Amino acid sequence: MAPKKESTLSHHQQQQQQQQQPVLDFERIKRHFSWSDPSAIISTDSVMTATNNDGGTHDANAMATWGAPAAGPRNTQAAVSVRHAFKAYGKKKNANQVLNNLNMTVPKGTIYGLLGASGCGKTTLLSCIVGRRYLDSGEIFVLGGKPGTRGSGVPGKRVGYMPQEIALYGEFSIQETMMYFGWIFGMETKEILERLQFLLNFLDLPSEKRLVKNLSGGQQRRVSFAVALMHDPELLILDEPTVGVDPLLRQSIWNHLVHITKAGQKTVIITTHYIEEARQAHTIGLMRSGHLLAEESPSVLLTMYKCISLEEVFLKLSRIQSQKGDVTHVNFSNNISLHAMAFGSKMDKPSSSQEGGVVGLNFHQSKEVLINDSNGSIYTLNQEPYNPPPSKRNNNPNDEESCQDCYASLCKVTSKGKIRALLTKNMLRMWRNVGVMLFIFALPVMQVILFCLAIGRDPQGLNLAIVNGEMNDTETCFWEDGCHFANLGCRYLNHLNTTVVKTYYENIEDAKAAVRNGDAWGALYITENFTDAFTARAALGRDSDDETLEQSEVKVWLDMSNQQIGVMLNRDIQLAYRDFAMGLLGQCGNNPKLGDVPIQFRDPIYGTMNPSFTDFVAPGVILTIVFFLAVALTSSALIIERTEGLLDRSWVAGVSPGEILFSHVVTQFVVMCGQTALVLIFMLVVFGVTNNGDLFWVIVLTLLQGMCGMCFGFLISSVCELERNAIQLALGSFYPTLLLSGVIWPIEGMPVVLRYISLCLPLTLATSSLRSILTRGWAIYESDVYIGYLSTLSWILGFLILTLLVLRAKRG
Amino acid sequence: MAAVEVRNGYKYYGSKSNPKIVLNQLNMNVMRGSIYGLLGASGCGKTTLLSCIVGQRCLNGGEVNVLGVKPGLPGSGVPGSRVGFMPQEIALVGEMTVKETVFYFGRIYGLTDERIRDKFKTLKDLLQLPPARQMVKQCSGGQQRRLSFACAMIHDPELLILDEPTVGLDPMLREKIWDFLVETTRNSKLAVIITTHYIEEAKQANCIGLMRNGVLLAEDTPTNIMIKFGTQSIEDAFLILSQRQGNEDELVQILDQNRNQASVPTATLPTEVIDTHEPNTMEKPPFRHEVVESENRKKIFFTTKGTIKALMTKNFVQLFRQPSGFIFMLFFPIIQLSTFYLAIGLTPKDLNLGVFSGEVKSYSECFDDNLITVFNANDSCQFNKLSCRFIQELDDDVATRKYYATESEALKDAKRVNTVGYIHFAHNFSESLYALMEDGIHAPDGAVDNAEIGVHIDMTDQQVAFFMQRKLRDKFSNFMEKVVEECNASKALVELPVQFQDPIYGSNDIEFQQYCAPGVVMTMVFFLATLMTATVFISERMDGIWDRTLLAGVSATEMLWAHLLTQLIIMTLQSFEVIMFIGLVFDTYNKGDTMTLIGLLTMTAFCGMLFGLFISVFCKTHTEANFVATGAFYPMIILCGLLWPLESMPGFLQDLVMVLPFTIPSISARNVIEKGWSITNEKVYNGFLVMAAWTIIFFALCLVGIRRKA
Repeated sequence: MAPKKESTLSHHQQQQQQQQQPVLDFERIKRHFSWSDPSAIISTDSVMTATNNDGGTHDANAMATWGAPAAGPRNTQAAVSVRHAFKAYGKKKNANQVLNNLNMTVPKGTIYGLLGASGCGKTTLLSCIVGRRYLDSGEIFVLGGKPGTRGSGVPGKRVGYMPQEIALYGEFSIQETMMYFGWIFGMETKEILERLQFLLNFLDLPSEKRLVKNLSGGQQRRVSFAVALMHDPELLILDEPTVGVDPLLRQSIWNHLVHITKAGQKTVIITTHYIEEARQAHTIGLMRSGHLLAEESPSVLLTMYKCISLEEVFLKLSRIQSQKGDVTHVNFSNNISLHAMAFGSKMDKPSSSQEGGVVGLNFHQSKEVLINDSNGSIYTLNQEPYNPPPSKRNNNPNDEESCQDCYASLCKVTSKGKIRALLTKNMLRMWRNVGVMLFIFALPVMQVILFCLAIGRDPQGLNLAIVNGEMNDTETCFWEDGCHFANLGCRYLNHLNTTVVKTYYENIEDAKAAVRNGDAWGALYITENFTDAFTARAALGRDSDDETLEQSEVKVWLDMSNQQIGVMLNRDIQLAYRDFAMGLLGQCGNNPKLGDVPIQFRDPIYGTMNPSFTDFVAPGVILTIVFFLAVALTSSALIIERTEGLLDRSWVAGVSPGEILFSHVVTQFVVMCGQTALVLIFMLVVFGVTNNGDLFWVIVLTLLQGMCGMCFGFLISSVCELERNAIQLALGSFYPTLLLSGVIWPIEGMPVVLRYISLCLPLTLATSSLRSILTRGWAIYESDVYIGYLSTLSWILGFLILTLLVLRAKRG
Repeated sequence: MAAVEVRNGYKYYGSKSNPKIVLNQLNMNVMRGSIYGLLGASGCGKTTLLSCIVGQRCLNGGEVNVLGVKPGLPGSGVPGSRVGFMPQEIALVGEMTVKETVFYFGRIYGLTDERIRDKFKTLKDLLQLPPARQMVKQCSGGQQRRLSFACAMIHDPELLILDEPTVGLDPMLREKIWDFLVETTRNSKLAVIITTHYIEEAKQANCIGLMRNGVLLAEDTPTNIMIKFGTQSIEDAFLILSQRQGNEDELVQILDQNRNQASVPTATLPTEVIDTHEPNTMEKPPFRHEVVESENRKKIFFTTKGTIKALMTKNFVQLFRQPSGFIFMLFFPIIQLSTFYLAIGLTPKDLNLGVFSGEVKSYSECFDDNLITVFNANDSCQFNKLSCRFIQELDDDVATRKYYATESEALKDAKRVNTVGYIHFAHNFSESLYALMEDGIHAPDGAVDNAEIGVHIDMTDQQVAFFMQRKLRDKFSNFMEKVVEECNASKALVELPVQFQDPIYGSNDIEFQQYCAPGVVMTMVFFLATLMTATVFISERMDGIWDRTLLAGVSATEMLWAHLLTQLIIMTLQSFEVIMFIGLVFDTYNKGDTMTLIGLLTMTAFCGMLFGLFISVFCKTHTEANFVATGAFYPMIILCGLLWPLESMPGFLQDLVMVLPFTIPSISARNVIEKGWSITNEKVYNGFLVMAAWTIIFFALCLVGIRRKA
């Protein structure tokens, strides 16, 4: 094919030209875009009108040439061609048809203005073109390839995309933004800086050090535009670049577009609902409710419909469509076959509308030919009937193919530039967000400190109401050390020193009343002749009479309403008695063990004789803190990216979801290392929680749990659409998990069914494993230890797989 | 007659020393019965100007007159029923149906239901609104916009302000809206201000103002402007004007270095308005602001039935149409309570305990029915294989026993944590015990040692270990008592001379669960309420419905009250649910007055709700709100003495936590449940007092915050 050859030849030349052009034409362009120079504006105006005319003629020429190849599926001349596109959202039964048998052709080297009200399907069409979404049926060719396939470069380097919203990170400076996208496109840093300098001057942007969020709206838009121009793409897609933009800026954007397409190699698709500005485009497509009403050059449209403004043309066309459409609308709301029938019926009376007839009559030669062409590239109101194939998305071979590709792209090792860009982005983002940083590092430390201070110590200063019959008053309680059998009551009470505050009462009723009023936690009563009775009891052994036995006893009434305190007092009172008896017996030359309870708790197998609640809970607390902080941080990461529009933008730049996920994993991992270090240092070093095991494995397990939490966070953020839902889910899952994982109470206390559920939770086995390491000092090869690692690893894997599946599903 | 008059409007954002000027000595005139098109790029100050006109913001200098009054004055009806406002975004509640939305706005404007119904019918035909039962979120973009338009028109305002009503609209619809506006203004005194950056469509307006960088470049009829600049379209005229201003910007900047800011570009620009007023200086005291505040204060208890009805309906509809929120509200407490009651604080079961006895060859001997362990002869008792008796004493409710032939095996299994630990009897356990009983303190040391039961326990699982120790002690004293009884000796002989009488409150076998239940339930109730409300205002602000309702003349305080009422109803339901669940399903006992408990829980929930509202008033985004809620949640749980007694904290911390909202109330609750104290007791009512104090603090802060925001 001769024209093809020609085009490839010129392609090279023009590429060279294009590369040199920015530098050569730098001064001239700068003059064009400097805003304060009135002469420059006038000259641009003249340039503009010139190009406009030029565009018109060019278009006419192009039309003649691309009539023929348009018939074939692969159109090398067209930068973008869309054939019989159907796309619906929602369930099959109640589908919302967004693209409805749409055909579109964008010739190379032109500006294509896609016009239409919001919600008419423009954005959907664009996202299909850049490979962000897939059609239900129909075909798209972009720059000679199918978008989303490997080697097509789409999404990727060959397209530049400027979304409707700003979609930039506010916390980045202009330079950092440029670096980010430059690296993604695989450019060298030096190259990026050069390009940046050019774009800064060209678009009249302020210093590259300024943060994007501090720029004015117009400046932000220009940065966004600069990002799309960054890598000098072959196809530039601009989604409403001129909304709410100052007229001067709008003018300069259009001037630039006209300029870059002049060479014939760059193609621009621009959407706008601001119809008048599209006069400068070479071709405009008027889109309404999912298909193109017309696709023509502006001047042709104006003459065709005898209007003075494009606005009026669109209004006329809309009117015609809705007159017909009212009938169709009723029919097609339900299913596609009916819809097709409606199209057929429309064909029966092609000249039902007068204006429609006029269209056909007034049309010039080439157009008529095109209309007759069965697969014509131009569709006006006289749409030909086309039965859309049943949209079985899953059985579509195209889709299978593309799915294989996305597997391939996932397996493919990503480029260094992309990873570098993504990592820098994540880090910077976190760094610039002081509040988040505080949350990340201060919260775990605070939690650990509070936990160690508030939980697990022995209660101090508990009030005990004591009545000692052996005392004369309530002040002094004197006793002698050694083997003296006098004032034994006081000697006993002396052993109670550690935790209780002793208040003496005259009689037992007063003491009990104090307990009843809540002034004391217990009442303790020692009889008047405690010493005598005790001595007698010791001397007589089994022969002592009942009265002696009763008199020799210490009576205790406790307030058991607070279980922890009650149990602790109970223990202390008993221990004090043991100490007292053993001390006395020892000093009197007897075997002190006689005073002990004959059930002897010897050296524990693991742990200490006096285990603390802190040691028991600490492993669980370490893991929960690390786990849920990771959840909190990541659960909104992807959502924020999605809502800011950056995900789309990065996607079009050729970044796969796998890469984004990976970059987040790496960033979070670094953060987590910091958190883990802080938590462990505070727990083990500052507060001295027992660790008998290998510190290395403790760190590994903690990090793994952090990873697990992170993956859970990713799962949440891929499932939830809104940030608030994500956080509700993350917070909601916290309490049950904490309670069910055996962190504060052993799982042996649960009902059997619940125990099995508990074992399936990500924290349970890991907690018991960490407890084994810390308190028992076990090594990794013990089954109780490594099972914790295994379960954590399998949870990580499970979460990751689910996340990828969900992301994949959402994309389709 | 002018509907809106702005004179020397001056407004800046940011600090006084470094102002970012938004309106720069702006003058504007809108006549009644006309359409005024306000044109300009976004960020040129259009929205600020409009918000000053409706009284939402105040100028730093200059005057605004709307319908003959100053906006924001009491009784001026601005903001309120005399103005209709259609914001740029949809700003409707997605969960409401079309009819509900129209009624919501109608009621806010104080129309009777009949009027609304009539009006709705006419507007529905006119604007081709979607079916009345359709939900707003299911409407297409165009339908939503039309509905939004209808809501701005529902009360026949004298001034209608439309902020970019036609952005992204279908041309047909756009034409229809314009036709409607032209028609209405021609036949009535309605004044319409319409902003757009879509300059061409403003051709149909009676008057257009071209705005750029806070200044009106021109204000005239479209044809006049085109004639004046000799252009074909307004677009071109605007371009020319912009260029001209652009040049002057530089000039002005140079001039600014010499002169002060009072010299303004307006003087040099060809605007239609004659600048007769003295240019105001920036230093002019913002007295207007104070006026607005005092007026708001008067309005606290002034609210109409219609407004409250409208607001409450909206809140409920919003709540019930969101299935996830509803499920969260109803089931989350149940899930949490169930997990708590099932998982925490119950006696550990299915434990394994190793047993090694040196006395027996085979453990089957122990379960031989013919085995007699105690021979009672005369004054003394003979023991035989007494360890078997103890082994039999250990039931399955303590642990499942595992028998070992050697001690090392038992130890090995315990090391591998197949058992929690093991007990071990010496080979001459019976004989030693006999010797000990006979000789008392004169028994030989060997006998004393061997008469003991040795226990080795894995102490790492503190709770399990404590449980095991307690059980073994209990069993041992039971065992000894029985042995002594058979020997006809006094029971007291083998008991520890410390006798624990029946506890004054509670029971001896109280469980951990009973200890932490009051705290857990209270925190749960508190934070559920917090989570429910923490995002209310934030969502509303983000949806834009907040501003829109404010502009309809509803004060922020009224909205606060409406939310308070809604949440109160929900919260009462929730606390009722929680209490029923605890009482019926888990059958927890309560020695005190149930009503007192219910009262305390409801107060807790109420306090939590106010805390949530407090967060949502002060936080800007959902993330921020959630961080604050979460950040408050964890420390409070750890510190409020829920898991561990307060008495174990260091002194300074103890004093600190007493101030927290749960600490004293959960002690009160425990006092009621376990001790059966009534509300008259100081240690019960102080919980109520603390809760009430927090409630009042949060409420006051909410009011202050909301005033400041408004």
